Amino acid sequence: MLKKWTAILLAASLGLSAGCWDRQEVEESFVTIAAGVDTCPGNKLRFTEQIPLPPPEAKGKATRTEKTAPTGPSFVTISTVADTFTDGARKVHLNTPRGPLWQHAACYVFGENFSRQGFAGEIDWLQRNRQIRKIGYVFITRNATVSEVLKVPTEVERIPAVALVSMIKNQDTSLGIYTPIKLGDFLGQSITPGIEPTAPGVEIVEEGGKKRLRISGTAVFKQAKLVGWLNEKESRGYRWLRPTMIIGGTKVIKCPICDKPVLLDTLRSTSKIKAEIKDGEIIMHIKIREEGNFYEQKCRHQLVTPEMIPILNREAEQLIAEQVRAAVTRAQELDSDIFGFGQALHSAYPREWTRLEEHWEEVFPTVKIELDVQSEVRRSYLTTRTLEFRY
Amino acid sequence: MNDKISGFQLYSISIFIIFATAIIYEPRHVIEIAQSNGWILVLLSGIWGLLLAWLYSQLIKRGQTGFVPLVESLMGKWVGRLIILLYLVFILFHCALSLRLFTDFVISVVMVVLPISVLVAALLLASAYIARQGITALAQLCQILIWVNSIFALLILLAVTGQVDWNNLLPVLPEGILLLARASWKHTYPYTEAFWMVLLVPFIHDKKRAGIPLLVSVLFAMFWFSSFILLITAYFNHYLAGIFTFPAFSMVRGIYLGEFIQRLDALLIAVWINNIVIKTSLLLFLFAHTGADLLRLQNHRPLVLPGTLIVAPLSILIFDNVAQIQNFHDQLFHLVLLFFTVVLPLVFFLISLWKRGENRAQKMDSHTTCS
Amino acid sequence: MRYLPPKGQPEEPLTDAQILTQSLAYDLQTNHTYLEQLLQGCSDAVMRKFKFGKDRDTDALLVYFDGLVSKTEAEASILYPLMLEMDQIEDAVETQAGNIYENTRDRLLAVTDLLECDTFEEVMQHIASGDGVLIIDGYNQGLVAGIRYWQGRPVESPDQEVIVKGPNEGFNETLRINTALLRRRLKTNCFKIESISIGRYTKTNTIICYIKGVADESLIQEVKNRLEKIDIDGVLDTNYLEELMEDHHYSVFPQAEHTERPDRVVAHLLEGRVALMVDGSPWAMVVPATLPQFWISPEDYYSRYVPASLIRLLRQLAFLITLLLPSLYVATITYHQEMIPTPLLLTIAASREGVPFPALVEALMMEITFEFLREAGIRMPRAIGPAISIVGALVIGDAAVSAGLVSTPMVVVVAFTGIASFIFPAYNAGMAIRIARFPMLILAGFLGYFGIMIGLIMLLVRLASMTSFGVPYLSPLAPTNQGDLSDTLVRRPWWAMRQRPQNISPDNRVRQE
Repeated sequence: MLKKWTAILLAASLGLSAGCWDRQEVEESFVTIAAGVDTCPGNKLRFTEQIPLPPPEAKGKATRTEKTAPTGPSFVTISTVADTFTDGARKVHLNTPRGPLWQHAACYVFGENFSRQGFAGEIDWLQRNRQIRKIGYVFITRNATVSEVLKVPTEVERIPAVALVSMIKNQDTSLGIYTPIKLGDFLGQSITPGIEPTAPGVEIVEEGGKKRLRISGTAVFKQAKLVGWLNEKESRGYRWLRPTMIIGGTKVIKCPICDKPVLLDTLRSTSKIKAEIKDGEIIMHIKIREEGNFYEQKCRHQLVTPEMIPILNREAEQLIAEQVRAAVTRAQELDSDIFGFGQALHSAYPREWTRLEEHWEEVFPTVKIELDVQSEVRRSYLTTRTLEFRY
Repeated sequence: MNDKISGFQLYSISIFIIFATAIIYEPRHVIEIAQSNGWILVLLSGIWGLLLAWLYSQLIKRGQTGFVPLVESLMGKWVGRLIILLYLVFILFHCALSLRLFTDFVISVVMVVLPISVLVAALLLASAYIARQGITALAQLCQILIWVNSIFALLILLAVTGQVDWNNLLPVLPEGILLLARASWKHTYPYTEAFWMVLLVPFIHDKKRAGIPLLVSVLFAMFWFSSFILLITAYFNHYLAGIFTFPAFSMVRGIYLGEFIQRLDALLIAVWINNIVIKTSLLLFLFAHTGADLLRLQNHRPLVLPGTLIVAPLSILIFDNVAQIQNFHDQLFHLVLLFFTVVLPLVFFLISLWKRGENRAQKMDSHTTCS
Repeated sequence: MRYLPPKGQPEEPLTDAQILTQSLAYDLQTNHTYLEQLLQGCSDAVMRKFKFGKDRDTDALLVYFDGLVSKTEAEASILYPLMLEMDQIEDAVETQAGNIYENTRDRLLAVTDLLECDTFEEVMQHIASGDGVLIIDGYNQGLVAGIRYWQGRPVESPDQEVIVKGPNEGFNETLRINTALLRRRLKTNCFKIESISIGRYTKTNTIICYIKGVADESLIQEVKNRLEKIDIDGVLDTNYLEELMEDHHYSVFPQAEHTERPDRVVAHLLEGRVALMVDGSPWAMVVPATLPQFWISPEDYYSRYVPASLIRLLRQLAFLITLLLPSLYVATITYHQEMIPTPLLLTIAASREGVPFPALVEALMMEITFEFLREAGIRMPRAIGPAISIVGALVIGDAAVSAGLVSTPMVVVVAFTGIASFIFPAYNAGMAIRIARFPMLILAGFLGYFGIMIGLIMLLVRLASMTSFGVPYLSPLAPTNQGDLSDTLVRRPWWAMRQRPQNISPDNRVRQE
């Protein structure tokens, strides 16, 4: 019996002495929803983070009546100047009460200037930190600083960071220009030989005196440094080569009869890169299998017919090939292997790769590509025949 | 009737003890050496593991009354006792080490401020309690928790499968299989933990067929290790996976299914606590049981508390920092473990074969002389 | 011993205890005196003295407790034949030949239950049980006439174990009615009801029911042995027996199942268990009991197996929720905030704004409040009960939220846990889980998920090391028996239920050929 009581006492004292070391009550914390760094004069970093304020309607019954009334800003953006990322993140406490919850960060925004200088020094911290989730999306500012970008309010979504994430995801499934990238992939590609990361750019546009955020361009990195941007067409081309399956997107081709635009959408598309060394030349065989639906036409020609669909398919294939070529050309200009050609070579020719890896920089621009694109129009939604207006 | 453990229970205990710390530390170790082919390496090591499981089942067959009498009869009374004493020391050391490996993992990734002493004390308290309850309760616990852990492991694998890039697994075997085969003996050590089942001999219900659960547990361990390492390599690539201290955990952190099922790692580590609690409690029990056998005590209970009191400070003082732990784990640990779980059992086995041959020869002699 | 008292004239009055050990005297007067002494202060005792016989010359005494016997029956079957009908048969040859006692016993008393008794102790026991005892002058034996009748509840539907479909009779406080309810469902001589009296003062009639050939002989013997060891002044309910007989005294988990449904008892008997009942309590106790048994409701077997299986899974979920939900919530919002989706986290943070307590204290406070309300709701007089029911709890909860004492999500969590805890068919198992959730809560508050996991492991190992009459408490979960699991986690269809549970009746398992 004595033993039992000793055990209980021991457990109890353990519990009490254990205190609550890692305890962090939610009401004493703020949620960091976005974080970013930018350059700052004097070889320092400007760290910026965005904190959403709790929704006012959740504050119990008392405020329920005021729900419709306009409330104050729904987020705050705080910037600090510091030596390192962590230093900056912790200097936030100099002017903000409460402790941070980093786990919910939905996006990481890096400044354009900062990216050009290179973020090799920051990777270490981002990888090691146990709170930073690598499922947040990465953005690179364009012609703006991080704190400017994170201060632009959006009307539809309360918090700009959430808006950015939702914009990049939605454009991917409906429009299909830019490729969203998560922090984990971004960092992984940065340190893996034979592949370089990209990240979508975000810029501020003025519309009627009102500032808005806009996703624009794909930032191309090389050795953890921003070396250039892909335009819209090149970004589309880059997206076709994504290793995971693509769901969603559009293709605008010309009507084979009258040259008016015809829009086909993409349901799914997969790509495969296979390397081949032939007569000392490195050739990448790129296979793209894409299928989609007939979506919209401006002319009145009957296009959803057994005769016309193969023609549409060929046109779509040409369009995709053109976009891919443009992207590859641009990447070779910038000398950044964003497609993972090096990795493909590694898979197919592990021995040659060990030799080539050293001077892949020089070899990459000489890589030839061979495209094999197949596009299929499958269905045409609610009508097969187009409306025949009398005009 | 109730103090025997069935085949399934033996399998559960065995697989728990194989996995407890290996699943946390082993993937990085393997991926560093075999790069994108780590999953093949563990399968190759598993073949050694299967052979060893067979060896252990042979020892179980021979040691009808217990491990201590077996060793004493094979090695002579005093050498045998010395060896048992060595085993006892190693069990305590192994227990402390496993505990330290796990607590360091937890404190690195989830509860950073928590003093290690508190976590060690909490885990040891639970383990000592379980060890005191005896092997039957422990076996039943394993039997239930094996389902929980298997289901969670399966869920992790399924959740990750959607997010991997299979190209990361290429190239397959660029240097041929021989290079891996040469490294495979080193990575046998997680499987050799099945050796501890030999110490459970008096409790095993069906000693003749104890080999089957052991072989099955090694087979399943091969499957789990291999698929975990496969997915880790495919999820990151081997460059990245080699950097992480706990790649399996880092992979779980990345699980992202829809908007809701994400960031589940804390829950999953909590489930992983099962492994370590079962491992430490089993080792404590083995220490107490074998010690009681050596001292000719009736009951194992009096020895649980001294064992616990040795393990607690040992596990805290054993290493100063994480680099030491990794260094020890990668460079030295498997040698020590393999000495106790492969070299010595092999010696026992060979001696028993020799003795049996001698016996038979004697019998033959006596038979012929009689006739 | 200084001197011998004169025969039949005790000078020093005997004590009650001494009288009780004595056998009845031939002399009615002595018997009467002793009985009067024994029953002194018992105002409900009736001693009716009357004369009967050929010449109205035989004295007789009828003793009984008022209220325990049927007066009409006493009149019609004892007094009437003796005092009036004696004349009609007195001329018969046999009557004249035999003695009065035998004649009375064999020919006159028109009652079905007739026993004889020799000692005062027996007399006391019989009249206390509701029999009438007739003592005739000149004979040292009493005739016990079974004329028990008292006001009791009729057979009603059970209050505690409510089911929608299925037989709806419940036990009541009268043991004989209860055995009748059982016997009506088991029309076989293999169904044994053994009786034993327990309690020095209560002399409670306790029965051991089992089906011979189905129940394990060693189990029956073990139950009897443990019952015989009991030495207590009184037994009012089967719970007394449970606590005196159980394997592990320091456990909050029940080690016997209590039910007030005869159909459930019979179902258990058919699986090879043993049931105990005591007089005066409508609750039967069934042993051995295992933990998985407590999430089984008799209704499972009266409805289709698919819905029954789903509902059983629901109950297991409720089991886990009751045990873990508050601790999971506390651990999540204090240690593992990353697991909450961001918008929900913001909402929780906003609603916890201004709550002065840490989540752990808040949860403990609310859980204890909930237990208060539940207990109050049970003990409340019927008339004012509904006023402060669980609805009242909601009002309090709402007010507490508005006052900033607790946060809204906490109220939701506590309310949900409360609802889940009502789902258990077995009230005592529900209690155990409700108690177990408090240590869990504290562990969660100190160590987060690790604390919960450590607590769960300790709980599991404790349960795994327990037995109930030799049966492992977690069986058939552990040690696993695949065959029995299909009637534990889900409900096996009747056409597939060919065998009895292995853990209860290992020898005779065939249910259907």
